Amino acid sequence: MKVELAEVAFRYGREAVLREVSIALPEGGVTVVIGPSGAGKSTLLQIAAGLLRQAAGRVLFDGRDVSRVPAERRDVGMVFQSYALFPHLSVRGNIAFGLRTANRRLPPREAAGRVEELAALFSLTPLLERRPGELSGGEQQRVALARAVAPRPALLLLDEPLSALDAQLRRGVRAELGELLRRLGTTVLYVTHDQEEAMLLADHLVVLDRGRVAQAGPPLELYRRPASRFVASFLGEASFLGARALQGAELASAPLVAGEASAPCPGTPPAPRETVCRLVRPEDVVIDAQGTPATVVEARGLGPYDRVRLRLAGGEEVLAHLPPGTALPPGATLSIALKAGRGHWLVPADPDP
Amino acid sequence: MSGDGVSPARPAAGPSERRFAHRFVRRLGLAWTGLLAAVLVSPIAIACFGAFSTSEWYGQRSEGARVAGTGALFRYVFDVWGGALLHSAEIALVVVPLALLIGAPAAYAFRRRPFPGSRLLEAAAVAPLSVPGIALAVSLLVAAGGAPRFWLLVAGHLAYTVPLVVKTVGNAAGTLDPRLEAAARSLGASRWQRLRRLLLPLLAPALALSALLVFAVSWGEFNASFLLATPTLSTFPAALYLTYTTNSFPVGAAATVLFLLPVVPAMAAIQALGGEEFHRGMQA
Amino acid sequence: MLAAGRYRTALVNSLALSAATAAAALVLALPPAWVLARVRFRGRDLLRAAISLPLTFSGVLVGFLMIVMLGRVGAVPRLAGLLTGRELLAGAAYTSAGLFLAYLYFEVPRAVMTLEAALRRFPVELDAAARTLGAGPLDRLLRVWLPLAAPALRATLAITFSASMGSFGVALVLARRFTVAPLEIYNELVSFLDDAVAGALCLVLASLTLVTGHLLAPGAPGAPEAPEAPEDGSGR
Repeated sequence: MKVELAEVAFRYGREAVLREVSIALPEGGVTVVIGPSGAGKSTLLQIAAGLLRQAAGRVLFDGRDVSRVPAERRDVGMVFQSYALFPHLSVRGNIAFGLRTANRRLPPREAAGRVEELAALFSLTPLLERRPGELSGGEQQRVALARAVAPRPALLLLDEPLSALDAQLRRGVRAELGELLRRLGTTVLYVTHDQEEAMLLADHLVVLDRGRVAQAGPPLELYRRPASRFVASFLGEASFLGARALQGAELASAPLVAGEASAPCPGTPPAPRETVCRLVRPEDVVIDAQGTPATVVEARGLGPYDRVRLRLAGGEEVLAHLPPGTALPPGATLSIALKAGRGHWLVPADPDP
Repeated sequence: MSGDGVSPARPAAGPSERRFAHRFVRRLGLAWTGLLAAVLVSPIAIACFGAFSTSEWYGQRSEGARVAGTGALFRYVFDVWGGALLHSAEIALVVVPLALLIGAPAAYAFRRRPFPGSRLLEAAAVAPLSVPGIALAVSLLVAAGGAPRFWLLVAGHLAYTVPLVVKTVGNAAGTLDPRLEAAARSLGASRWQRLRRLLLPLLAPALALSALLVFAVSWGEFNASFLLATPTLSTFPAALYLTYTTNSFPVGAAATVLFLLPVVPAMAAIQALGGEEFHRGMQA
Repeated sequence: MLAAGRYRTALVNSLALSAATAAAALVLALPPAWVLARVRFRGRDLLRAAISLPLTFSGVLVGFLMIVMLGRVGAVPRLAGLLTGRELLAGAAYTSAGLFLAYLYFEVPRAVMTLEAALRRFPVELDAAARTLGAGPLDRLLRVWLPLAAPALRATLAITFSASMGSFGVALVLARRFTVAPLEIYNELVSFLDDAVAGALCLVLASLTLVTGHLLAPGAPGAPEAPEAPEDGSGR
């Protein structure tokens, strides 16, 4: 199903939580909404579910305005952050709940079959008679997901479904979940504040900031070519270097200039004399004898790479992920450059950190 | 009172007629609540007003000129029932600290330091709440009929008030983050310091609530006290009974006003201190 | 001893009156408990304070209030006399119906406060979850709310029932021909000075109360009876 949120606004008391948020969810794909806490992610999800009613704007399912359709008739499935499993029902009862309601009434035999099918899919078969209180966090999460998809909803909503799991478990479940969501082929709206989770799961990524869409697009596109410092730093580590454009891509007082010749910066060339800012991802920095000189401020081996803070001649700092074992003492000097085709202009250089 | 009333996770209203139904149901609920409050309070108001009115409405004053005006009325009630009033106050003032001293540490132990048999002990501690007052009074008389009456009355009141303290304080202690005590310990706080600077301030609202409640319950207790009372050691509720059955209406009304005088502020203070949280702890 | 008709009548009366009071108090208390727990409005604290006021009253005081309202010259007959010319319900306070009303006056506040506390921590998210699964209002009432609220409803019944069984002051002031068990115990002690019969009656009354209470709301006291509400996970 094609789902579209059109200029959705919501206020809580006097405070605007969402301001004219427009998102088009690709059919059968996973759309991840990411943002810091308080950005309005969960509110957006509840509006899509029909649990909250937007103050303005429309929710369109296949072009049909469903704003006035209550949650129970919207044909959505939802996984809650706390799972919201029914404590008085067994796992079987929880999964079967949505199969026999006023709005969807499967024949008992068919419903039982569907429960078994989902239990097998989510490896819950041995747990079917247990109560939610007797399950581990990961098991509860799987029950919540199985319950939500059992009625074959046209839209599946997930509200930070992994945030209640501990870090190690989360990593395993994350990969599994991505595969499952793709296999289901349902249109999915997924909310998280975890950048890695978002990059891993999203076909379409939406960054939400204080109730507004900061940027939307394919995840890697957003990572490489963020529209603002906020998006850039929210999706990963970044250094920002000030610069002023002279003409086209020709720059004044821009460090890493030596690399510039060999690696012209992608993106819209800034207009002459405009103050710009250059985004440098740490993994894009390489050691290059022809590069810009830099002094090591701090270096730390992290295993897969060394995390090195460097100071450029102009005093600006750049973060670099260099091959492991470089073992540079603070104060050491080296020359660095950007990998070909990397680096990105942010125009104008917005002042927020 | 438009669409705002409910908690943030309020389910959204559907089509407009559903929304209308929703609003109608809420109005009905509000009206019901208001009506209940009115039905509960109006008899109190009408009864109390009787003490300040000379209207025929409230009946003849068989006590004659001695109770003609409001001032005289209250003087008369004081003359006749002042002793009982004093006894009730004395008992309440003894029962409040005793109930707290017995109930609060026990509640803390049941919640935070359970020991073998502590659940049984807790069950026993709150059991008197579900024993009829008169049965309790009879068993006290049988078990310790020779004891001084004052202390027998105190014991009867403690049986009903200690469970309230156990529940209220136990509930508050149960919601305390156990890491707080560990944190205080790691900061070098001694047992005494943890009690004084951590537990007491954190449990203060619950202790205040239970003190108020213990007072109100002790002040109003009749079922057990009436049997334990003697002609020379009567409680005020027992005096109320005698007033209601022997005196004229205005005298009963004046006695009722005296009875309510400390109850109304106590119940108001309980609500102000967090009544809704408090009643949670009262459940069986 | 139980064969003695008067005692049996008193016990049966007590049981019937307490059961009726508990059931009626539950029904009457549900809407206000819901409103106080879940609807935010100005004056809510005042309403709650007003409803909780009679919680610690003496039974005799409640009896007096009944006489004020429904006695032979009570406020209701007077008002009816002014409005219709006929003094309706005069002396109703002294009938069994009057006693029932007085018991209700006592127990409805208790029921409201007990239920409110339970409804306040009811996990609203479960209702939202049921809605996203397609459950309509009736589905949710029968399959989510009732099963989850059942312990609180039963606890309320148990509390109001056992309080009514022990209620003594109200009956002492109001009861004329109608008798209840605590009243008989009192009579045995004071009028007939028969400690043995009084003690036996006490034992029967106490065990009936405890057993019924336990049947209605099993489980150790103090144990959390309803599942704790998960924190509201909404983005706000």
